[in-house]
Amino acid sequence: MTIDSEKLAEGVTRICLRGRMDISGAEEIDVRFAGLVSAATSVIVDLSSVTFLASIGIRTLVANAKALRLRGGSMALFGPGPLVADVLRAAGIAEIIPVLESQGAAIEAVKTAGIVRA
Amino acid sequence: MRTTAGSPPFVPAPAAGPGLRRVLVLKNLPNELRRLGAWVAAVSRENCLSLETAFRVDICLAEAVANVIEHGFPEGGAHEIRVTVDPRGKEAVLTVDDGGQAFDPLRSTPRAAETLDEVGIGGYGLRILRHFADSCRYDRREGRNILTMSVRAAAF
Repeated sequence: MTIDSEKLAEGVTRICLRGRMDISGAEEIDVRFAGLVSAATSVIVDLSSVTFLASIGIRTLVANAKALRLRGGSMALFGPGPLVADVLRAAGIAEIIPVLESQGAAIEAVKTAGIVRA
Repeated sequence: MRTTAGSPPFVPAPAAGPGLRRVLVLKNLPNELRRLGAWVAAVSRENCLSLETAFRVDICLAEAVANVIEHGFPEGGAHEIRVTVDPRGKEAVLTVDDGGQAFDPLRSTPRAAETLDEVGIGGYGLRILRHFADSCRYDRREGRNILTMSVRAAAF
């Protein structure tokens, strides 16, 4: 897997994940992901190039979303393909971390997270 | 289409054609999930499974085997987990067979968390498995757990 990040306007950090988020993929990005999240408060995660997502990858997403929330920050996911979106729904993640179609909607979700739970 | 009749049970992979039942024996180690993923990808390619079917076969086996590796052998030691994929045209039949402690993944019902504050970081695998398999059956036979799943072939 590969991971890269970009600071967008208004204090939002976009993290882009690419590849298979299975045991190998999660191991490849875990440290960097946690590092990026620890330096941010509002994080949107681009899943459009994630081709596979297993429960081990979901643990990475949830652990980082929880860490952010403990510090008063928030995370939203966006752009998953239909099969990855189906995994997120099956795992019940869509109810606890906002999953949006577009980057714009994800930015709105993290900006309003402190006021209204998305 | 199937040509398994009369074949010995362990046909070497290179000699076998599409549609043959494939067997993989894994150890109860987390690293073995990598080998499983590579093997499933090769079997899916050989059998020209569609993207969606291959994804569902992949995730059902990954979650079932991860669960056995993580929970099946609390006493430790080296054990074997046997995985089969049997492409039958309209569906693929998958089995995971292990000699670990008795565990029926279809009876365990992890509660869905409602907020990020109360969610644990694990427990998603069984929900995912049950969602992506079209049918699941669990048997306990001769001290072994046998999980049989089927995935219908999807068009794309």
